[in-house]
Amino acid sequence: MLRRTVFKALLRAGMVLVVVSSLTACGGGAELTVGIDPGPPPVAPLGIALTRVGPEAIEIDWSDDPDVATFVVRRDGYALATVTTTSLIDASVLLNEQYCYRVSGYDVSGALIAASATACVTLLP
Amino acid sequence: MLSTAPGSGRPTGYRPTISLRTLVSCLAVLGSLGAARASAGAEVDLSGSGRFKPASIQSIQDSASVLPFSPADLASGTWSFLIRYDDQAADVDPDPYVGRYAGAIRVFRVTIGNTTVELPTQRAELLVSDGGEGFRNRESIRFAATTATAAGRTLTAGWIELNQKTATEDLRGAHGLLTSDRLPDAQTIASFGSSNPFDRFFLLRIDAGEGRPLLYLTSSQVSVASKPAGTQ
Repeated sequence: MLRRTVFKALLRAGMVLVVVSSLTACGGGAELTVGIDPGPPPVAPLGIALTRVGPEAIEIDWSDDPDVATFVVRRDGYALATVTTTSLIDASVLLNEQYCYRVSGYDVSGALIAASATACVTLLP
Repeated sequence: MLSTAPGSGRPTGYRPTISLRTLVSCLAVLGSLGAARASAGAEVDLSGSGRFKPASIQSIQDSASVLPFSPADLASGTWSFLIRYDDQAADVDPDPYVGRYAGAIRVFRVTIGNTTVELPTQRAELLVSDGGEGFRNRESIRFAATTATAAGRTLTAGWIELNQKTATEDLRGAHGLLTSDRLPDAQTIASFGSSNPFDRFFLLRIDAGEGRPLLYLTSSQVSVASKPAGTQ
């Protein structure tokens, strides 16, 4: 279990472990661990939904990820809020404007591990 | 210059170009085409159903006394609608990019939970905007019905579809999904290609004059279909 957790953490850090445990059987005295950098860590998808909850208010809902410590909600590319919930109401919007939202999830170390697609909505009078 | 028909020696330009029988046939064909066109201008049923996020308990309590829907209906999260409209209604708006089809909506029926309400259509509006209304980058089709309720409140229900691009784009004319402000065919209305899924939505709101509405419900999770009125 501990090994699996460490493996996930290293995977997120961009490392893949290759553990050769059969060295002991071959007369070796220890495990050999080889680190390979596979590129950017995997980013899990987050579902996102937008709902008009008022003439000047948009609710953003997104799916949870158990490994995410904080979510950052971006509106039109700019950070709107950092939250630990899976929902946010943006009441700082104007009529007849289009707003595009994207949610990113970060683990305790601050690594990006989950992200939603970009979703847009327009409020009409 | 007149030509001569071979063997006749008579200029073809003076030949009778149409016989009585042909004339009768043409009139019959034109008549049948006219009848077909008239029948094409029939009423259409646009229907939709789906889910919405229930309003807050406070919002439901505030609006319960002025709404025909019960708190249980508003908390159900399910709704549907049926809009019957005349697809040959005339555009009464002179704006070349805005089609306002007065009187086109014949039925506007909304069901929330277990309660069905038929909204009066006197103030219902069917509007098509092909980059009009000051938004060249936006096209829209809007069905809306508004009615007064108790205590001076206004109830509005609507099915709205938007397609828009960045503010610098011009979707008027042939550039967007709509090529004019004419009422699109029923299939186009039912499956309008909005630029994003959240810009096709059903709306229900109760306003109490200025300020925040008492109730505001919308959802893009709606399946929509159309068919000739009265058919199964």
